[in-house]
Amino acid sequence: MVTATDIFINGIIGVFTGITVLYLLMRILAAAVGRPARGSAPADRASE
Amino acid sequence: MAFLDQLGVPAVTPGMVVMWAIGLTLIHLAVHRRYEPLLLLPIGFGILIANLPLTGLMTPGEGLIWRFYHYGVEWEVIPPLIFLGLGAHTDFGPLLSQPRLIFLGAAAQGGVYVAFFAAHAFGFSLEEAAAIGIIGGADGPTTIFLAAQLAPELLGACAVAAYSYMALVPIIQPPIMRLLTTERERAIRMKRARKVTVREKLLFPIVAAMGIVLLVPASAPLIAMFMLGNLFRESKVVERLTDTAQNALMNIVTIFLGLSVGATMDAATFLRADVLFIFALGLAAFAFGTAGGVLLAKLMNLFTKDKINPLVGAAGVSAVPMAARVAHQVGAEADRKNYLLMFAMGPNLAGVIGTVVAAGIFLTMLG
Repeated sequence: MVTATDIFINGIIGVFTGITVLYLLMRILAAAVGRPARGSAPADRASE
Repeated sequence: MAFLDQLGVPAVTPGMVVMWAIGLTLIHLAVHRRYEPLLLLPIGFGILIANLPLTGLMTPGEGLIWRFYHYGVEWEVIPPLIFLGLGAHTDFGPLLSQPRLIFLGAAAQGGVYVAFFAAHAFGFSLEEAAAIGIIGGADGPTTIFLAAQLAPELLGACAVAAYSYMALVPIIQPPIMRLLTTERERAIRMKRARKVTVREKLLFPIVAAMGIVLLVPASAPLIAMFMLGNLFRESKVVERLTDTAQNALMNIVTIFLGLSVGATMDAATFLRADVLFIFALGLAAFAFGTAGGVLLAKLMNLFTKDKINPLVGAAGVSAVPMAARVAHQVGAEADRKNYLLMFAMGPNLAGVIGTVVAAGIFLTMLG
């Protein structure tokens, strides 16, 4: 039977795991497409 | 006489009159104080008409507003559609430019679990405690989505609490932010964020949706729709769909949502001592969430050279964009030229995702 403590522990772990995964995905994205490639067309370099 | 027999007036109870006063109060707050009017106005009116006798509006199987509630909320249709619109409005640039700020959104969810624990200690069931705890995420659609599944009898109270506290962010948060920070910390100027490419913003909703849903499948209805809306926006090739998601669709579902949530608040359901606990615990959740984000920012500053202004941690509660604006305003008190808004938007958006993940975990374990 699920207890409040189970939910508390799983919840905290789950939220931080999910956020950490998202953080890593953002870092990978930044490394892969965050900087314009050398010699790329101007459209590829469009940025915010 | 048939006409006299069908009059509603003799069937009015004192409880109904109290609910009329509550409904009218919410309408007043929406109209004259501009407290979250898009939701509190239809919620207030929904309370009013649901507490008029003999209307049949909420009769299961046949009432008009019951149909809005059953097919829109119980069938989990409306909250994901609201997230579609939210995603279409969202610019993830501030978060993508400073990924580390996403952890502040996670820390702010601590308030959810503190309130969950406290609610259970006060005697609420695990399901009810989860619905109360999620108020601390300061995210109306997620609160409604979770409460409808786990504790529908508390849906109205939780929704009103969530939207009320979202509207009261400028009053609730600043004292906590000032209590936990020094003037010097509040004046920290953060390093200018890097520019984010169009391709990053285009790919982010796709990878984020896949990553989060693979981890927490129960969060899929909200996360998938949120990221779809964002993909519409960032693709720049479906302007009509983006416009519809941002405007017409969002407005339509907001009407149905507000009216049906308000209509669940009949006197018998709402006028209980439990409801006072819900409001008190929801406020505690919110306060702990604010504190969690600020304190994690201070902790991160012990290990990082580029300091984070701890005030942006308070924006980790999901009240977008109000919490980010409040962080900026409190920061401006310490340094008028310190422009924190765009930095605060990062944790603000992270808080939305964090709250959905928290809700997904509650559903996984209790649903």
